[in-house]
Amino acid sequence: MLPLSQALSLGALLFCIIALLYMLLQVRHLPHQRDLATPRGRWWEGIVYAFTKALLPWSKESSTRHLVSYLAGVVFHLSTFFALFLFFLSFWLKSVPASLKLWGSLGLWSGLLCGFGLLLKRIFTPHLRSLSYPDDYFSNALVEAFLLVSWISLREGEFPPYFYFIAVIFFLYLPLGKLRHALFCLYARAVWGSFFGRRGVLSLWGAKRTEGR
Amino acid sequence: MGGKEDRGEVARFMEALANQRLTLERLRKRITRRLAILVNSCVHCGLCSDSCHYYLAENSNRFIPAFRTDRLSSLFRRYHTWLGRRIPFWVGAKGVEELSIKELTDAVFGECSMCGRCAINCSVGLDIGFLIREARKILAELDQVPGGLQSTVDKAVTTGNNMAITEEELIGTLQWLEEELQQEVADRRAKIPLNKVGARVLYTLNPREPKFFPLSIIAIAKIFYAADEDWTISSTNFDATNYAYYSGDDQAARTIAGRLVEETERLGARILAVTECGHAYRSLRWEAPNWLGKRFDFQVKSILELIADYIRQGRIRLDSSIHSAPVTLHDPCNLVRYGGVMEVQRYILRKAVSNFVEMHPNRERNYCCGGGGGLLSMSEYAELRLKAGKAKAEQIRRTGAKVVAAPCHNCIDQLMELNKKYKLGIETKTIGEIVADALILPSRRVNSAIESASKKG
Repeated sequence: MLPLSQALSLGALLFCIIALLYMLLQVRHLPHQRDLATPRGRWWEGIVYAFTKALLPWSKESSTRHLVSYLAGVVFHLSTFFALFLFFLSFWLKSVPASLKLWGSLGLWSGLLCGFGLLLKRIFTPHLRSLSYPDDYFSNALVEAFLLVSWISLREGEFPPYFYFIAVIFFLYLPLGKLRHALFCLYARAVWGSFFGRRGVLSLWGAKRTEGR
Repeated sequence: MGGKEDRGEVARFMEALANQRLTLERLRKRITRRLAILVNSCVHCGLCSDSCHYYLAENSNRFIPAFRTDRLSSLFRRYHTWLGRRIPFWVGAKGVEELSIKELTDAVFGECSMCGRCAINCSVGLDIGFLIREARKILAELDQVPGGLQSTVDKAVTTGNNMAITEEELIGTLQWLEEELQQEVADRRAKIPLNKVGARVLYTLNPREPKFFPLSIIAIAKIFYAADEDWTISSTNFDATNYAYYSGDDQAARTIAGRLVEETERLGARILAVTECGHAYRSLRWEAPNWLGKRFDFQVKSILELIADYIRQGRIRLDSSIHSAPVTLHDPCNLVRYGGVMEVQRYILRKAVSNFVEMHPNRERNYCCGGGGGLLSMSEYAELRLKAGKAKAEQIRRTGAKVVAAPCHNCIDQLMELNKKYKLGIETKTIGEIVADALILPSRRVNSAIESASKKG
């Protein structure tokens, strides 16, 4: 029999997955215009580009110009994925190995710092503040809290009930607010890659390869 | 008096209410899969801000691309998300009653050229240009398209071209240009063929060409002559442009594009060659099949692709020494970033000029000149349009070029205005004009072959 906190967190995870799947199905059922123009490039090449080369810090002017923010965002997201991995691991792990403690703590701390930095930037940069709503601040803070309890759990070598309670809030909120971009961003990126890939604008090997088509 | 004022108030209120209802209805109808994905994905990171030439020029929040599209996203959140329906302020969800149509019109028509530079630079990968056009579609259905742009569309729909040029006028102009061409190439057989059934290439024009820039038609005719191309122009359906793409009126866009498609099929041309015009290329090459719901039996090509083919196949030869002054290239957004035509213009220029200088950034990362999005037809935004062109003007200045090759007539108009405003001291030309000047005409080719043979002998 699972402890209550763990059972609740699994329930919240289930809700999260069902809600995201529901949203995905809703979106899939919306009208969609098939592109009938003869392609110049390859749509799949654009998608591969979108998930590989396009993520490199020097591939976009926006990431080059705002390198610190971009890298902070990358680290923040990576450590969130790591915290999620820890959540799943926590159901099987009897004790936390020393190596995981060290490297995990490092990763989570980096994520915490980067996330906090991004939160401060959102609060203090006027143009970013003009784009932000309570949801933006809360989503950041919630992920920060999740990272923090993950780090404390790693340090303690066990996963206390509050780790799971924060996970409950995290999973319940994920499909409702900004955090649902976890699902939609992947979709949007694929759509972006496919669109520009088909037109021969994004290509893994440069535009010259697609020009003749 | 008071009664009249009250009645006016009531009328205004009723109109606003009707507009709100319509907006809601339109929004509901407009939600496609792509739109839903995009409005759910923006994380408000703001990294798109300085990819926008408006933001660079004005440095104001309202020019941040994400801010611009948030007006549309906030409506979506208000009516289509759980939190937006219950605690709207939390997620920045706004109802139609909070939406100012004037503000939205300014944001999506007057403060954005739909150049897509933000789309290429978005950290998530959102095609913001697409979102802007979706907002324009809603406004088009609410009859809120700015007058200048709407009248350009109306003219195209009712007269067959956006400058209301009559068939007689066009034929007269082309006959005069044909005589000029014959003089220039010293060959009475040089023609500008009209309505020729079975020609391989149907060439289309931007109405600005017969009206204001006839030299660019002669230039292309000269290239076709030198390449011995089997080509024609339609005297009735010659307009390649499609301002309904900009206004967001898909029905009109379908009508305008449909005419050219029908004409190509009627004449049996294998290639529909689009003049140097960015949005015309995009409309016909990429959007028209979707508007018309069919795949075409002919190819849609930019005239640049044809010219590059002629050079590769040895059908035309160029003397690059004619152009010794530094020449730079402007990449029109709809031709390059949204059209995928990136390298042929460079290939052509390297053959046609001896000193080609790239602008930086270039290709899909180029800065918009500010003339796209139908902005040239909306005089109320002219001042802002020229301010927004600052990034492009600086880019040009840095190259030190004396000539800017711009394969788009909208861009050329804007660049000419930027030239005046920012005192760039440049000359703008189409690529066709540059190539035509550098052409080694067939007769000269024969002469030089004889000369070289006699030298060898």
